[in-house]
Parts: sequence; structure tokens; C-alpha cells
Amino acid sequence: MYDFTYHRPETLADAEKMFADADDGQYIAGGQTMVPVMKQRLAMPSDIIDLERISDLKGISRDGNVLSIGAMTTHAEVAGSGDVAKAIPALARLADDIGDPAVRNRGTLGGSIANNDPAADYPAALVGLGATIHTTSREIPADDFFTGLFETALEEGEVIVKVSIPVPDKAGYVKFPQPASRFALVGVFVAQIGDSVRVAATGAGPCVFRVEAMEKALEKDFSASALKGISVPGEGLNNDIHASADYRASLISTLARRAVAAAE
Amino acid sequence: MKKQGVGARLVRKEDDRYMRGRGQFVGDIRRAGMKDVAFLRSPVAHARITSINIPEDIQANVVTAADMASVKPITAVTSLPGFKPSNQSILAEGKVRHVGEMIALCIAPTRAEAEDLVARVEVDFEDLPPVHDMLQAREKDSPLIHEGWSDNIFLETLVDYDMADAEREAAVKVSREFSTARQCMSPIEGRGAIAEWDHRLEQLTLHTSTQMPHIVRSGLAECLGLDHGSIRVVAPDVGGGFGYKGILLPEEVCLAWAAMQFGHPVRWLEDRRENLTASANCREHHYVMTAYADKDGKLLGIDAEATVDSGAYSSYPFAACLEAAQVASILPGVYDFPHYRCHTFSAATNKPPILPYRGVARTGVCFAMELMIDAVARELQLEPTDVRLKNLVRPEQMPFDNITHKHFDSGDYPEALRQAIKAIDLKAVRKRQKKGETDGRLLGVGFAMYCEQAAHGTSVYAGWGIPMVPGHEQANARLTPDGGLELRIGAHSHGQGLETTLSQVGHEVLGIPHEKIKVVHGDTAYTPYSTGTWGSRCMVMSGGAVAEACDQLASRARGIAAKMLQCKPGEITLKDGRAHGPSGELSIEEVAHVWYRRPQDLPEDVDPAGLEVTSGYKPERDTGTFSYAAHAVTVAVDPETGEVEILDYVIVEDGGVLVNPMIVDGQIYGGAAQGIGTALYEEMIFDSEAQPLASTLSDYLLPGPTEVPSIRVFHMETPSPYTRFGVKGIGEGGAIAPPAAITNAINDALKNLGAELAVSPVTPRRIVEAIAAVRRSDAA
Ligand SMILES: Cc1cc2nc3c(=O)[nH]c(=O)nc-3n(C[C@H](O)[C@H](O)[C@H](O)COP(=O)(O)OP(=O)(O)OC[C@H]3O[C@@H](n4cnc5c(N)ncnc54)[C@H](O)[C@@H]3O)c2cc1C
Repeated sequence: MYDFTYHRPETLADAEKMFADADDGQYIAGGQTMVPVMKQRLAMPSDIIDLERISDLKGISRDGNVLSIGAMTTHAEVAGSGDVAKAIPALARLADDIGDPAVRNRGTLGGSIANNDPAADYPAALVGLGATIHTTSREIPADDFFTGLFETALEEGEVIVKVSIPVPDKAGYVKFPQPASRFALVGVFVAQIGDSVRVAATGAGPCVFRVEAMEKALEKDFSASALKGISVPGEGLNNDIHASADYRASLISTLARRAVAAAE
Repeated sequence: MKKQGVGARLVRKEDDRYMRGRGQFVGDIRRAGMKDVAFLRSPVAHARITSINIPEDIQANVVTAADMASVKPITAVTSLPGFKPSNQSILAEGKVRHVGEMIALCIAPTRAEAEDLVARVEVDFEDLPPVHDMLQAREKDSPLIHEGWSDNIFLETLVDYDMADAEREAAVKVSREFSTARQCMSPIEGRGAIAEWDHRLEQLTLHTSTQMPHIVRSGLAECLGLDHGSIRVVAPDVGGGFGYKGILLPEEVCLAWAAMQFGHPVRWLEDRRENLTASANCREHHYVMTAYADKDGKLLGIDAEATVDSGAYSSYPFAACLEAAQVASILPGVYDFPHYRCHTFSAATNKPPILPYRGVARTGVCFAMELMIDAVARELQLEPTDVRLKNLVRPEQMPFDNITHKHFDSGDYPEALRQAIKAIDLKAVRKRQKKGETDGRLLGVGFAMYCEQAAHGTSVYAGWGIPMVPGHEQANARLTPDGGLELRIGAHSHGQGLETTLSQVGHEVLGIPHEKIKVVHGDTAYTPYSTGTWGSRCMVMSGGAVAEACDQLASRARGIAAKMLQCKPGEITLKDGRAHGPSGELSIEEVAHVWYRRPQDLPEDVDPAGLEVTSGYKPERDTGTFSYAAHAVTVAVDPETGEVEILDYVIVEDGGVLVNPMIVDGQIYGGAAQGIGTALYEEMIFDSEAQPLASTLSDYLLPGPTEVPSIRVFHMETPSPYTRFGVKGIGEGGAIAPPAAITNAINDALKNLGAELAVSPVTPRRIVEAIAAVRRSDAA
């Protein structure tokens, strides 16, 4: 790791200014991605701007049928929140299955989605639930936020403030964890809101994606058996030392069925 | 006094410092003026180095092969006919033969700064075609790893015990192809060393994380052209070895040279990336095998062709062909059958060298042989345990010379299997299998057996003529003036618990309380020569040597006590730390006190030899001890995702007389955890460019606490007829059978689907693919 200048602003305005003034600034949230990347010298920022002290980025609240979670909320806080457990139990369980206790106590929702690791869990939930990402300058639907491998719609210096999530009638998430990190080798999030159903797969491709054929089938009949015979082609899916593209494709079908069966 | 001798379950002495974080590892040592080293390592697997450009301002801090012309390469030859030696330059000379090979050494005040220097050195390569696979290496037109060789084979061997007869007589013939993945040994502490030159002693001191300090000293002497007397090697606390640290490292030679050249201490600590991508690996075997049997499952013969991926160089001291040569002699395992053929190839590839990992070739051999037994059983529709019982060496045959002339010293192999069958409750598992699981998973039960030659003697190794042949093992025993005992051994303890078990041996012979016995090891300046800690040899060899030395010390102490009690030495008995004579008794403490501090109280004619003895030991037969075990496991397999859950794991093992059963249990648990890693997780994959594809522990999968089940261990204790106290080596066994037992259980679970796995690790992907392949061929 190389030397850098450390900043700890208390307001969003200060944070954005510090970022603009820096040669090569980087925000840091829980540091669970940033720190390892810096240790390996893959990132060498001149300035690190810690979002920890900014109160606008914190907290979980429910307003009617919308659940809001601040960007700096840790995975452990989401997992332990009564509001989340009541509104979307599948989301609380998802947060509780991220990494290990150290990662859950440091890592944040905002950091996870800003990073957009292809195997991260939250992108599946936000796309699967049709959430909205609120930043310092705009509101972005989850469908438009995750744009590619480690890429998002965020502009330089833009900070995620919170996400707002419509409370579904039913939702379920099942992942097949990579045994070491517990990242999703494949994870499928399924949610039913009124007549509409969303199915989002993470870990399988370069970026989270929706499986429309499954959504249509489930809109007609929200049951595991409705998914029988629907498969996703292996083409274009991730192929690495842990799983081939075809194996990932087969996991999407299996996990989607299990997510529907588990939905509550 | 609580029992403290052989057989006592004493808590390990060494754990006090380990558990409090007070161990002293290489990384804990600081030396005045010490600088750190980082190595520039090859990013490519096979290439000629056309130029190395070092910016002028850092030239004084960068070393390349050109600077080290006086240092000899590492060569580990064997005397086996046809062996092709390799020269491993300390820093690559002209050519690199695997990713991670060292090209330059950079010195700076800290490791981070040394890595900055590494980044500034530029190397130009002319790529050569890489050989990434051992079968590719064997092809006629394969690129050559070593110019001047006619092919890529370090050594080819063939044994044939009338195989043709079996082919004629057999009712069934079952053929299979098996392979086991290349693995990275993963001790918590990586390698590391600090080298310094002592001007007063005119001596190089190397603190290094090694299992064999005396062998490293010999190797350094050979490469650097120094006398042994000018080199001291110290192995402080070592955070796990498993074979990974049974090697003379090019890094050690390079550091030693640099310390002499630069005049200040230099340190290198391996990081996890180097551990995974640059250092020696293990375990990669491939088998093509045919079993011949009669219709009842009695084996008539085994015909095998085995290839071992030995990597680019022959490592010192075990050499590149140890694994494959062992395969030929131990493949028959615990079974008695009349015909056998085995053709082996030690293939050179553009990968790091291989080292013998815990269990050495046995893990691969057990995988191949035990999967084969199950395949024969399935072919004949027999219960696999019945096929085993038909073929096991029987207790009344012991001691038994098997088909490859291995001399099994003692034991009851069928009884171990019967106990395992009972403990896992085979009948109940079969009943539950018939019923089926409510969650859709498939239940399977698997068994595997092995016997493990340990404490190999001179005759076993002499035939190979490698740089290290074990001889008589020595120990030094010294009574201190206050009646304590110091034991010095040349082997090293790094998890085996020798500081405790050798103390128990000392107590057994002399009756001195365990608390007053200290075991000194790991320093060539203080200890007798030893080939070190490997091959499950220390309890037998160092234990035997300690007992011998203590016997002689007892006789010296009796001599002095006799003078003090005015009787004959023969009239003195030593018991519970006291010397008893016809008319009185003394404590050993009093004997020592008088000898050292009040010699004026002893008569003139007392034997001046004193209370310090170095003595040696060799078992009555030096063909090794054979511990053995039966492993039994039940698993549940999810046929949709390929996930495997271990439901129950049973080990029935016989390691002869157990000096400390608690330590033995620990050895077995630890070994089995590593075996589970081999079975289900660990795999260093190389792509077609021979690039290693896992560089962190999130990609190189190790079993963690949630992957290792509670293991139920049962002991049998058949003494070895040849060793002191009847002990046998048991350090490696736990790691041998799990891949075979678990894979047999998975295959048992998948039996009705017609799918069968023959490649380790058995990952979820491989299971799902095997099932899909059967479905495809059924559909076609
Ligand atoms: C061992 C391990 C296991 C893990 N397992 C899992 C797992 O099972 N599932 C899973 O989903 N993840 C897993 N993770 C990743 C984990 O969830 C991280 O917490 C997450 O990727 C990053 O969050 P962070 O708060 O630590 O962000 P940081 O590391 O601090 O930042 C990550 C990136 O996001 C940017 N950033 C952070 N906050 C904001 C913001 N508010 N606005 C704009 N940009 C921002 C930073 O600039 C940086 O580029 C694991 C990580 C580790 C180390």
C-alpha cells in the first residue's frame, strides 16, 4: 500500500469538495473492498475520503410501503434490523449471509453496490425488488444502475445517499456460496409485488441480470413448478476456476425454483 | 505422581507459548541492521531471458544470476538408472521454466520498498512454448523443458510380476482412469529466512522455517562451497511444515550469499501469493489402471500406468522421482494379490517442482486403489467392504512381505475394517438409502484403507541414492546439576508435539518429572545430525534415540549412586526419579548435585564420563513401521447443485503403542482435515500457458471449520515388533484416506444414476457434470 492523505468529512458537501480537490480521490466506506485492493497496489489513490462520519448516509426507516436504507448501513445492521426483517425477511437473511462477521460489521450497502462486484448479493436484491438508488445528484432505478462488470451509472464524485425499496408481497433469495468468500457463485432473488414478478440473478454473468422468461411464468403461477423446463443458456455467463458457464446456468434454474419455494 | 510416561495423555508443553501468541517464528526475529528482500519472479512459464534492465540508481541493491557466478545450482540427483538431473540456478540463468521462478533479488530497508525496486527492474523474454500438463509432457513432439534431455521424463520405472497370468485367469476386468489435482501445501506460516554473517565465529547463521535444519546446512555447504563448520542453521518455531518445508530453498541459498556479500543481515518472508504461485506444489498424479478379479471379487492382479507431474526441477533433498517411485512400490496397499505391473513416469512440466506432502504418494495411490476396489464391487454387484475383506492381508500372515517386498510389521487389517463398518453402521445406512431422503439428496457410504510405511530406514532410501539417506538417529541427554533433564535432537518439532512426547520417553526411562525435562531441537549448533522431520519418523527414530541415551544416562547415574550408597551399580534400581540401593536411596537430583557441585564427595575411582550422553538408535529392522487405518464416511449429495455434506466420519486406526494418545488424535484430526481439502476443495489449476490461476486463499479453497465435521476416532494398538516401546509412525495417515473414502461415498450415492467420479477434488461442478454426462449419453 502506498501513502495517501486521509480525510474524514462530516457533511456530504465537504466530501464532494474534498473529492473534487484531490488528484486521485477515492471514497471509502467499510473498506472491505478498498483496503485489500490498495494493499495489493491495484489502487493507489492520493486521497481517501472516509464517509463514516456523515450522518445523512445512515439509518433504516420505513414509510408506508417503502423501506429506506442509508448507504453507510452495514450488512450487520441490515441483518439485525427489525424493520427489514418485518418488511423483507429475504433481504435481512441475504445481509446475514454476506461474507463473515468482520465483513458484515464493516462492509456497507453503499460500498457493495458502488463496487458492483459480479458476485455481490445486494445487486440481486435491488434489481429483484425494483429499488431506487438515491445519490447526491439524482435518483436511479436499479435496472439502470448496474451497468457492467464492476461498473455502475455513478459519475465521478457522485455519492450514494440511500436506497429506497418497495415492500413486496413475497420475496426469496437463495445463493450457492463460493466456499471461501461466501460471495455468490450464483444467487437468485425472486420477488412478487402485486401482479408483477421480478427474477434477478447475480454471480452468473458479468453483472446482475433479470430472467424474463421466469418472470413471465411466475406472473401466471407463482410456484416452483411453474419454472419447470425454463433454463438460461450458458452462453455469455461467467466461466472461471470455480464454475463453468453451463454449471452456472444449471444453478440459476435450481436456485430460482428454491427461491420461489422459500419466498415469504 | 500422575502417569507421565509412555501412554499418558499429557497436554502439550509447547502449546503454552503458542496459545499465548508467544511463539518465536522467523517473522518475530529482529537483527540490528537487517534489511528486507523481495524477489523479482518470472511472470511467464517458459521463456528465454533476453535482457534484464536495472535502472542505474538501484543497481547496488539488485542481484541477478550474473552476480552469483560462484554459487552452484541446486541439483538433486538419484542413483536410479536413467534418472535425468536438472540444474536449478539460484536465480534464473538464461531461461525460466515456471511462473514464479526467481530472476532477481532486491534489497531495501522494508519489504514494501524492496517491492518498489522489483517493479523497476525490466526483463525482456523470448517466449517458448509452455508444457502445462504431464500427459502433454509425455507426448513425442512436446517442447523440451530442459535442453539436452531427449524427452521430458525425469525417470521411468517398470515392475512386472507375471501380469500376463492374471489376464489369462480373470473372470472380470475393470479399467479406469484416475487423477488427483495439483495442490499447494498451506501451512499458516509460509517460508521465511534471515541470513547473517558472524565475524567473530566466521560463520553464516541462517534462521529459517524448515523441517530439516541439518539437511539445509549440508545443501548450503554444497551450493556456497563453505565448510559445514562455517554454517549454522536454526529452525525456530515453525508454523506448520507438512513437507512444504522439507526442502533446500533457492531463496535460502540466495539470502545466505547476499548476507555474506552485503555484510548485513537480510530477511525474506514468503507472502501468500508466493506460497500459492511460486513455491513447490504437490500431489498431482494420473493413473490408468486395470484390475483383474475372479467372480467373487478376489483380486488376481493390478496393472497400472502412473504419471506424476514433477514440475520443472528436482528439489533437494527428495528429488523429482520420489513420488512416482513410491507409487510403484505402494500401490498394492493393504491387499494381497498375486500379479502386479506398474509403469511409472516422473514428468517434467513448466510448473513449480513438487514436494512430498503429508501422506506423500499414498494419498494418490489410495485414491486410485480404493476407487478401483469399489469399481470392481459395483461391476460384480458386491458390497465394497466384502471385496476388501476378501483381499486384505490377514493378521495370521503378519509380519508379511507383500508383492513389492514391503515388510508389513504387524496388525489386523480386517479387524480395523470390521470396526469401521460397525461404527458407521453400514446396515443402517443401506436401509436409509432404500427409503430415500425427504429433501431429494442422495445418501452414500464409502470406505478406504491404507497402510503407511513410516520411519524409513537406511536400506529403504539407499537404493534411491538421493542427497539424503536416513541412518542411525542420535540424541543427546544431559542431566543438569539440579536433577533436570535436557534432551537434544536433530529433528524438528512443528506441531508434532515432540517437546512433550520425547519428554514422556525421558520420563519413562529415568522417572524424572515431565516438568523438569526440556527438549532442545532445531539448531545445528546444539543438536546431533539428523535428516529431520519427515516420513512420520520422529517418534520411532528420535524417540528411540532419546530412550537409548537415557538408558546410558541411567547407567552412569547408577554408577555414581552406587559409589554414594557404597554398593555395586547392579544393585541400584532407578524408579520414580530415585536411585534405590540395598541400604538406602537417593534422588537423581542428589546424584546430579554431588556429581557437578561436590565432586570432592566422590571416591577417586568414580567413572569420569559424566552425566551427559550422546547415543544412537536404529530399529531392529530398518524397513519401517506400518500403521494402518480404515476410514468410513457417509455423505449426502445434492444432485442438482452438486453440494456434498459429510454426515458422519469414522476412523479406526492402529499406530502401534501410542506415546500420547491425545497428540495422536490431534495428528489424525489435522491430517483428515487436509484430506478433506484434497477430496473436495484444493486445486491449483494452470491454464494452457502454465499460469497458476489461484493467487489468493479466496481462489485456492481450503477447508475451514464449517467444512470439517466432527470425526470419530477409534484406536487399535498393535505394537511394532521392531521398535522401542512398540511405537509406529502416525503423523501422516489422517491425510491419506479421506479423498478415497469420500469419493467412494459420493460414487455410492450416485450409483443409481450411473454417474461415477474419478478426479479429485470432487467439486460440485464435477458432480453436476458427471450426472449431466450420463443423462446425455442415456438420451443419445
Ligand atoms: C472476505 C470477504 C467476503 C465477502 N463476501 C461477500 C459476500 O458474500 N457477498 C457480498 O455481496 N459481498 C461480499 N464481500 C464484499 C463486501 O460486501 C464489501 O463490503 C463490499 O464489496 C464493499 O463495501 P464497503 O463498505 O467495504 O466499501 P469500500 O471497500 O469502502 O468501498 C468500495 C467501493 O465503493 C465506493 N463507495 C463506497 N461507498 C460509497 C458511496 N456511498 N457512494 C459512492 N461510492 C461509494 C468506494 O469508493 C469504493 O470504490 C466480501 C468481502 C470480503 C473482504
